[in-house]
Amino acid sequence: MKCMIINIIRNVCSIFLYAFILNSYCYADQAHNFIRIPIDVPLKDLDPTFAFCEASIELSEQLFIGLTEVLFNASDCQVVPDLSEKWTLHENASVYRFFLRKNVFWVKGISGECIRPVTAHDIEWAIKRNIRPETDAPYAFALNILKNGEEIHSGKIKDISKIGVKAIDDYTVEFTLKYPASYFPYLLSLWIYRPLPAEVVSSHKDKWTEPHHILTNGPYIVKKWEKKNQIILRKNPHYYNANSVSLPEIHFVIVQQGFAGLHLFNENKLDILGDGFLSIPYEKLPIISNSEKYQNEFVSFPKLSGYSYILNTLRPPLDNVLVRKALSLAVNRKLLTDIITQCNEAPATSFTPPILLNISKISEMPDFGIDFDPHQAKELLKQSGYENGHNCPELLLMHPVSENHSLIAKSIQTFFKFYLNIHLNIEAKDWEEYNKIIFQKDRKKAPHLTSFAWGADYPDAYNWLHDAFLYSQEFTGWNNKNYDYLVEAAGKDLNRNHRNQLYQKADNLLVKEEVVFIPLFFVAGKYLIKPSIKNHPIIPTYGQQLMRWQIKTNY
Amino acid sequence: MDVSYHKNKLSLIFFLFILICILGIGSFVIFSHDDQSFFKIAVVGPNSGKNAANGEAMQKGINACLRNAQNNHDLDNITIQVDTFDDKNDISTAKKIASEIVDKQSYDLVIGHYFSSTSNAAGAIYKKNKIPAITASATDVSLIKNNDWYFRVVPGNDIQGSFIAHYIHSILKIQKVNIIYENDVYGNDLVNNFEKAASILKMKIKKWNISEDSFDNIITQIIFELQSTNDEEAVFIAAHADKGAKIVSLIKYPGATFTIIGSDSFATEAFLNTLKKESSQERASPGYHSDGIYTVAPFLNDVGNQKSQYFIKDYKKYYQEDPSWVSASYYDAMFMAIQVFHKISTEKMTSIEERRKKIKHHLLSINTYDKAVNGILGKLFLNQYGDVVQPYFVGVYYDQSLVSSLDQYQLTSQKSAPYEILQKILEGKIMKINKRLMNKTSVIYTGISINKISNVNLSNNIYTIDFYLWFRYNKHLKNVVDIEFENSVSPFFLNAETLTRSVCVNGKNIITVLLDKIENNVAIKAFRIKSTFLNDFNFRAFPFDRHKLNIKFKHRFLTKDIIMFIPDNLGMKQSDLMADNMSANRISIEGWETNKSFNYQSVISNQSSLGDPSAFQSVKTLRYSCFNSEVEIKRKVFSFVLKNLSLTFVLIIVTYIIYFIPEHQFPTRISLSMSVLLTTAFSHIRMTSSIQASYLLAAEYVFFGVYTIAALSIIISVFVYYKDQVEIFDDNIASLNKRKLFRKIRIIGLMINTFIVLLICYYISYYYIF
Repeated sequence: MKCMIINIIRNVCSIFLYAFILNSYCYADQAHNFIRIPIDVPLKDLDPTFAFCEASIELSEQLFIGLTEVLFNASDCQVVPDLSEKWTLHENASVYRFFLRKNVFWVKGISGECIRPVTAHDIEWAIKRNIRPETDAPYAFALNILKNGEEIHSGKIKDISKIGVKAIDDYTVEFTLKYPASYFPYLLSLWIYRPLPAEVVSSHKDKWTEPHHILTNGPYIVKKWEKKNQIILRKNPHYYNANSVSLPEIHFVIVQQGFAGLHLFNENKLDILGDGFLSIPYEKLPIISNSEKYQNEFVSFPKLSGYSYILNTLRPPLDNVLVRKALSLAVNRKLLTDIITQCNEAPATSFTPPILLNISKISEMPDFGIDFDPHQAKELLKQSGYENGHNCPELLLMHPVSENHSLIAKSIQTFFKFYLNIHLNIEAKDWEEYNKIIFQKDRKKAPHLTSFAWGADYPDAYNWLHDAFLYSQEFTGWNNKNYDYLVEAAGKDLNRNHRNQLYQKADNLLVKEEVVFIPLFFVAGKYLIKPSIKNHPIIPTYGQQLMRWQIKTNY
Repeated sequence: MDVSYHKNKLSLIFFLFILICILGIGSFVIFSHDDQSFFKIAVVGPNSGKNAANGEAMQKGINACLRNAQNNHDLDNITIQVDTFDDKNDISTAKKIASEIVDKQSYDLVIGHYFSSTSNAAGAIYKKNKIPAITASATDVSLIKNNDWYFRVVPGNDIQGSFIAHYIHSILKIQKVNIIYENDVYGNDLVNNFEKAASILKMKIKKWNISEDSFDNIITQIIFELQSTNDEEAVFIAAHADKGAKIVSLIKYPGATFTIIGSDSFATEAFLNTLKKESSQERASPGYHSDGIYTVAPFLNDVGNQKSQYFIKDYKKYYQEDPSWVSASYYDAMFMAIQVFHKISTEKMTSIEERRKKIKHHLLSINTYDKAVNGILGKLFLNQYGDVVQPYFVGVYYDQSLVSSLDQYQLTSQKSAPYEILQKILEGKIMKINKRLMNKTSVIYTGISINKISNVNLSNNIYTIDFYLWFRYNKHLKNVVDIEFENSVSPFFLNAETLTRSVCVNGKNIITVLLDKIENNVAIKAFRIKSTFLNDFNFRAFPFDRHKLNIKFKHRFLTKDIIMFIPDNLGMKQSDLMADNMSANRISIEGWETNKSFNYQSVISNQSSLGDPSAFQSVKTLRYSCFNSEVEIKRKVFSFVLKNLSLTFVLIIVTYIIYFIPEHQFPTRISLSMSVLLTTAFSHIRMTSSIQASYLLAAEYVFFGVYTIAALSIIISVFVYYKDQVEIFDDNIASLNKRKLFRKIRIIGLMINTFIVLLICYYISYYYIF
């Protein structure tokens, strides 16, 4: 009898327990306290030195912090200390000294054990490792600004110790630059400048980022890594700013195709989709952005990424600035973004994104940039001797094979024909052939125009007006001493307002006065985010600061 | 004996009581609609003051909708009480009325207010107290965007301002615009949106703000500037009807080189009324100022669909005037409310707050084309803010009538390649406003004047019509006259071949070209056509049936987003007048009453991938504008009934007489009943053999009734005979009781007979006559 009673009690308890577990499971599916983010490639390692693809950059950002970080708002971006507490400038901004926080630690993956503080030596060691040619770090070019950086990287100087970085003491590091650069603190936010735990990297070599070995210093540590399935990060309890980390866990789920990601998002198995977190399928974007179904989930915002056409100024008739200007004035950028790109892209009237020039409203600066003006375009074409396109040679536009490039090219062809009666031939080539043709030596045979897309490596106009410009110069063949002076002067100028004014003048020269670039639009970031995520500040470059995101607890 | 007598009497009374109860409950179940939900609506508009005409138009539209709903039995399950309030288009009065509506705690919904300013003022109160409101005239953008309890069935100022700018730029091809506007919510909102679009289109604009103090000075200045320029200019007037009319009377004169385009207030009755009041020239010579003025409206009488044409017909019948867009849009506001009431009438709600919440929820759920309410303004569905997704129509005044402009824009979906759309936008064939693509559609004014209808053959569903057909359209349009008649008996086309000569197609269709000319950029083509057409006649209501003899055609390949055939009401009015003078009976048919022809545009849709593999997954829908001209014929019932059903009435009387034939005359009773039955059967067969229908006709219910009462009389005769002959009554008392029983049976028989006759009469009249 007693046995029977015990059995009954046991069975009843089992039923209750089972019900409780089942209920908990169901509830957990609806009210999880982590976010599920897709990434499109199964990563080989988590080493910030080799962060290049979007997925690896996103993960590095959560695991490792650098000396500085960039904070964005609607009209501006500011560089602020992160691993460092402060910095000082010496010798007219060619020497930077950073003072590190003493409460940033290397923390072990899985166990969360605090190993030791992060020191200036870790930064020096990491940079010396990254600059070595044999390391073959994809972002090593960003170290070229350091004294002897370019020479060491190219192998001209073998002695690594000659590079312009030095740990003064455990918590002070000094950078000596090749030339004064006001934008250097922005560069330091790149993952190539992040400290590394020398002892772990040295002993475990390319296995040092395995979950049992890895040491990280960022807001999150590795909790679990199923190589082909998912990476789970959990909050770092020893992070110096742990109180501001809202998300306890992040699950990076590997989903390789956009359509599969969209399916999982619709099934409520992902909390976010888009851009660095697996792009939304392009063909679905117009539907999603206009759909009532996704109206509470679709988020778009301007990114630091632009799309322009660059002009071969050495081939007639584009050697005539009036013709170049007429072409740029004949492009209705608003219509282009409304009808062709259709995903909240912003019409571009400048080459550099306005936010990097500290411009919040372009409309308030009538003298800045170039806008659509068909009347003036016709007038300029007339002045150049090609009234209504008469006798104007046909132009050639070449772009790499891609549906997007093709669509934009056809639109520009339509504008030129409609407003100027100029015929534009379009040719699409595969990448290798394209490079061969557009950079051929005989510039009079190279195409008149080609597409040029640029995304910011670091949020400073120098990255556009110097780095991007240099890259484009091989095609445009355009040189201008005044322009070079403006950009170099701005790069050295420590006064932010003055620096922005110089950048604005340089940009105007490029797109309005000399018209070497025809800016078309600034790319918009596009995400689908579940309403359960109540706060999701998205930055317009790579490496989202997920620690600032928040999830609704009662969802 | 007494006891037995009383017992029998009580039994009879009890039996009759039960019978009446059963019949009563049956009737109640069948016909009653007592399970009704009750809804209370407050309609608020300017019923007095200078804008009273608009308030009156609102009210007429709402009443027309309620009347139509009543006729269509849409109000069988719900009861709607409409209370009207007068806010005089005054902000403080509007606030006061809104508070009054809130205080009464009984209104489910508000319809109104007319102005944006009054709507905004009252809207804040409705929002605070969570009362849903629908406006069909206040077009301020923020009214809907900032108030989740306010809904709108006409497009807002953001669309209107932008639409007008695009129209001036792309259709009127004018780059320089003078804007005259009133400094209030309406005027400022319109101008802001106009400016935004004009800036993108690189148009040159000059603004003139009209206020009471500076009115005369500014008007003088405008007149001077307009007269001193040689450029082609447009004047956009963003003002209310009264002020707009005043401005027009001062600046517009015949031969003026500038083009005036007014905001939607110009399409109201109030505009013309004020213009007539302000200008003696306009009164003396209709159109002196108003001719050639463009305006936009959510609805134009001649562009609407079949439903809207019925609305116009009904409106004219009741109010002896044409409806303005205000009446049409408030009709739709009321219609949308009724649709929502239907949805929530089945749901259980305990409080007025809950009902209002449900109404709001259901209004917001009308958010896709598939869920759209089929109103007279078109398919109405709302965006996430509760604002309707609809284009405007452009009208132009001619002889004080607002007729649709030859170029309209309609919503279209983006099916073409993006760069093709871009090309069309540059050419002015497509415009994009607020993420909505609108396709330029050319209006083909179409007129039909019927000369003669002959050979109406009901058994074969065919008839021959001899008629004039004409088209009037922009001369730049190509291939307009390439149409196919959808309901001709033999394939029948009107195309380039028939334009050159008169032809006789298949020996049956005769086409004669009457006119082919171009005048003032307008092409006119007219034909005389005689052909035989086919229609599916519906005889369910026979002999109370009405039929439509129609002519129906569409373009062979140009879809509705390229051209639309709309009734040339002006042309047909003239034609009708002339024809009426010539012959009153030109379309008379023997045995039938005929109405005037009724013309409207409908849409014919075809779904096809056109063999394009990319379209296999999402099949293209091709929609064609279809022109319909209908003549309704109604059977002359009295003569028909007299001729065909008089015998049946006699037979019904005979069934009554049978009850008065003595019980022992069984053979007589039976033979009479059988004669009734057989005669009815012959009549029934004779009647139905003349009509090809597989369904029941109204007249057949009469026959079924007669069968029933004949059968009843046979059953009763047999029963009575049985009682009389088989059962033995051997004393006087028993004999007396027997007579009493027979009397009771006779009374019951007569009652049932009467009941059946009445039931049939009620059924036929309820379902087929009224």
